[in-house]
Amino acid sequence: MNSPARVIGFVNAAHFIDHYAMLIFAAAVIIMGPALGMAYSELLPYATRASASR
Amino acid sequence: MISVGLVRTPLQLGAALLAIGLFASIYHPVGTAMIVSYADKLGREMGLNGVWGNLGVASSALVTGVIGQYLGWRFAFIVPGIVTILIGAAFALSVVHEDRKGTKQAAAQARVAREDMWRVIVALLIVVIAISTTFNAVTVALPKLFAERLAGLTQSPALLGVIAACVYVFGAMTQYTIGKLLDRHSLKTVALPLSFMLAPFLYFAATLSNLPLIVVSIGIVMGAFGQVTVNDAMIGKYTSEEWRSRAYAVRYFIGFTAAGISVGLVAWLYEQGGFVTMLHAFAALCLLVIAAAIILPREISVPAAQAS
Repeated sequence: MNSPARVIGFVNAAHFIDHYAMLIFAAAVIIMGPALGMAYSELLPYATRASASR
Repeated sequence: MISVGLVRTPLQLGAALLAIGLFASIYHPVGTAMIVSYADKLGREMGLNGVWGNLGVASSALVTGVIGQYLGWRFAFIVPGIVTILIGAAFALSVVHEDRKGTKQAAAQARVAREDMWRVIVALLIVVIAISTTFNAVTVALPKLFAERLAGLTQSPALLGVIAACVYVFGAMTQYTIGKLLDRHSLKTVALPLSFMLAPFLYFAATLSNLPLIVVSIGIVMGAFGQVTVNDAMIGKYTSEEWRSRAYAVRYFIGFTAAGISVGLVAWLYEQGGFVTMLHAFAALCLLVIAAAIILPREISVPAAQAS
């Protein structure tokens, strides 16, 4: 039988990673724009693919 | 995540972000149901779980800003991707599958009268759509909003990340506090006052900048993140073990569909009238959250053993 504390610990870590992963793009888009030569409103809709597929 | 750091074309970027969304979609219906299943005190564990999610939101802006500034944006995706693989391997090696039916659980300790159940469903639908849309819009837009409006304080991506992270920490603390309050009070008692936070803070944020914007953003984050804990606890409290995963799946399907639309909405509203139009629009949407809290019914408390 699993220890509840251990399972909840992993679930909490997964929750951390889930939200972290979904927002890397939102923060990175500020430096990605100049590097890729694209505007904020041009690049941001790419995040729709990630958000809509959740 | 690693694949986003390796893309060369916009099409590859879209495909890699789609993959992140697909794999990330597994967590909420499964993870939240696992928390409910293993929790001794539901509100506290939900609140703590919310804190971890919120720290993910907070550290994402911070760590991405720092890695992006010093190593470049590609490493901002590659480094956390490697860490995720290592944690996943540790989970696979140390946790086994088990059937939790029949074990003592903290969930389903509250019931509502059968004739009032429609109120719960309607309130949940309204609040899930409004909050998921607003939550996603705020977390997606905040780094850019700060980059534009905090120019009087700093223009460093790393420092902007630190400020965003500090703002999100207040959201984390709110989730923990709301979780503890839900263990002691009825859902409506907690949800009603909380519902009045978002609309005014979003409205005022539209025209503010620098320090006042940071203060108002703290209010927005506290309102939005606290409400997420209320939504999750609503399902945990009112559904039995065998239906809970499915209820969470429906809740997150509706929520993430709305959240997906919100990103396109942010980009469109931003093009129409910048962050003023975007924040005013979401302030109007959050008036629905107040209506949802008002129609929530009174609950009838029952002992855990009787409920499960």
